[in-house]
Amino acid sequence: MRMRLVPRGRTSVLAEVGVLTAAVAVSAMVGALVFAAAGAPPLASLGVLVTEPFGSAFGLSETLLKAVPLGFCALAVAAALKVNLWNIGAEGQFCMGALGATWAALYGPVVPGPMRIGFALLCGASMGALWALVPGVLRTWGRVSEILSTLLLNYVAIAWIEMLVYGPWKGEDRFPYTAFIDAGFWLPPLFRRVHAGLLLLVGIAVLLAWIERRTVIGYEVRVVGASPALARTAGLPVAARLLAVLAVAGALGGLAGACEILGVQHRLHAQIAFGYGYTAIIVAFLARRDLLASVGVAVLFAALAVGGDGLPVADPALSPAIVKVFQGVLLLAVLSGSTLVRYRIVLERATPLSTREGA
Amino acid sequence: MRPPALAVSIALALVALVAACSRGEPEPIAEPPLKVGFLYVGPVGDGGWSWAHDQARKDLERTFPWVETAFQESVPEGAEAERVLAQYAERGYRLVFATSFGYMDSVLAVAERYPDVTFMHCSGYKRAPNVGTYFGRMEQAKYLAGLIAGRMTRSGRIGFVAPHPIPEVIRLVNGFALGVRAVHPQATVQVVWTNAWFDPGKEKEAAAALVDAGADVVATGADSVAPLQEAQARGVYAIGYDSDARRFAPGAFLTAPMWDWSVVYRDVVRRVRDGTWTSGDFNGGLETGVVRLAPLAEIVPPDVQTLVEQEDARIRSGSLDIFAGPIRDQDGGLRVPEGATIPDTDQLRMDWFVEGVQGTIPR
Repeated sequence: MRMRLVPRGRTSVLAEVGVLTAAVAVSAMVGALVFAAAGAPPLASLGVLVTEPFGSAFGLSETLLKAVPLGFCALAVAAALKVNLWNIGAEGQFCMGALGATWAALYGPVVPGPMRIGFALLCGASMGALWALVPGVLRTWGRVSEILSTLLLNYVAIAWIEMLVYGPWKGEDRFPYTAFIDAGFWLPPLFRRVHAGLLLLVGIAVLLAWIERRTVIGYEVRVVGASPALARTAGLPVAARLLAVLAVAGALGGLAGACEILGVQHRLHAQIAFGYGYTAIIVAFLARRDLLASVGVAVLFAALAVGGDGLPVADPALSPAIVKVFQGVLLLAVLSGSTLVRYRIVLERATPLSTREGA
Repeated sequence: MRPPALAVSIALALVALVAACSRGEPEPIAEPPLKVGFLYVGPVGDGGWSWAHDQARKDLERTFPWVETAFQESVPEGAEAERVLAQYAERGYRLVFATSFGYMDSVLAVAERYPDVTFMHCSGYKRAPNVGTYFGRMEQAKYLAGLIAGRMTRSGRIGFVAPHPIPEVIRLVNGFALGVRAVHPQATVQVVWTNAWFDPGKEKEAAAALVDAGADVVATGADSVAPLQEAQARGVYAIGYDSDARRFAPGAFLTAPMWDWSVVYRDVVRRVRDGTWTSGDFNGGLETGVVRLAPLAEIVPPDVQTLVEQEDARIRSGSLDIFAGPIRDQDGGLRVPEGATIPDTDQLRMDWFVEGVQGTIPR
């Protein structure tokens, strides 16, 4: 027996809403059981997962704050998927973006006041773009899989940060982080800890979605993504388009890191990215590679994290490990549901073997 | 466009949940419990640093019926820590212990926003009216462990798995090395950095590299038990840290310098409850019980056990200061002259190794 996933062709939105609602409902039921087994009131605990991230100005601000780096990273993954490239390197692009922005703020040339933030963002985006161009070049001219090269470059990026924060960029505490950047480089706050990076994220997502749907470049990218062979026949510069898309993807990852430095952390340290770039892959997948949806799903993921962290605080009977069990179940259910809506499972007999058995 | 479907369905489910969840709160009890939150940098199951803090948290729950605790593990230093600290404050916690140096500026930032909440930061040096700091003179227990390592080594080469190259860790390596050299003046202590508090993979590799380089005793200053397991597998002695983890390396384990944070935590929760808490710094040594050695393994010979007991008593009584001069640095330069010692302020900024330590501190 062999299992195969066969695309279903067109699926109705209704079916999708139904399946995903069921997935969430099933995981809520499993969660309720797990919470009850741990000695916590199941319904109230599930409620915390909603009220913690959305139920107060504090929670909402923390959710949106976390959605910014996650959203940018998800855009970095989704953008590359437009040309069927898997960007597993948002984590590294995030790191290089954070590095670029920190350099601009601490060691860069003197820039006139109002242009400082823009300059630091540009440095972060450029570093991210350069970091993503390396796998682009390797793929275009060296036939190296971008899945491997983008992934492996993440570790190189983290090593760069470690070298700097343990070494020449070490701050006054002699602890592995830099000094705080000057307040003139801080992204202006919107409310509570939420900073202008949120507006930047939404603005850029809308802009990119518009370019994708309404411009010639967007059309060309779509053609390259749909069929490189066709694009080549039509005379499109396929390699150049692939590289350009990867550069944009890298710049988005870089902006995630830059916003994290300029908006929240205000200094570089070795734990700066801690997995946003990897979570972003799931976000982009669930968002069906769509740019605007990536931002929306990023908000939901941020909410899941903030809500999950709130659970053991709200009810100490629930340990962080139990919360992770629930988050895992939810993710698995939603991912399976999302896959099964688009594909059906076909069981096939392994013919050569059965023939032999029959003989 | 498909994507919004996910958002719609999740929103639907969430609305249903909230509707289902609006139930009454449990009846209020006579005295509201003192809610105490903990922030750990590693998982509670690390068998090391975070585990030791969690033991003391459980001790509070057992000792005081009016204390209610919660913890968050593996909280990254930086923006995440700031959120989790604030989540405690938002939920009515009156006391929060933040147990890693890297939480320092997050604690200060959150403490300013929630002046009614008391924050205790472990191993830091920045305080505020509602932020206190606490730590212990672990270098004393490391010194005692060093005595044992110095007496047990045959090759004269001892390995040390060290997490971050920061003053806190450098101080402990130095305390250990001073103990080693007190009984074995030719011995060397080789240091390998893992650049992480908790990373069992890197810690195991570091221990393996040290054994390859000739070490027959491996000590660790990182949070996991991986170096002990590697020592056991390679047939060399091991000195743990933070917890009595002898069951992970029964043939290799000699002892482990350990923390007993309940010494600090019991006192702090009492004071916060009585309203007598004031900001300050706790930095106790062996005499307070906040640091101590795990019971020595049976393979440690009786004369070494006696030596450790004597030196332990001398440190407790104050007649032995492990940082008393003369102390030379690893290049042979005299750092602490005869008759002098290293004041606490300099210990907080220590960025040099004592004589006998092999390894570099990144600049």
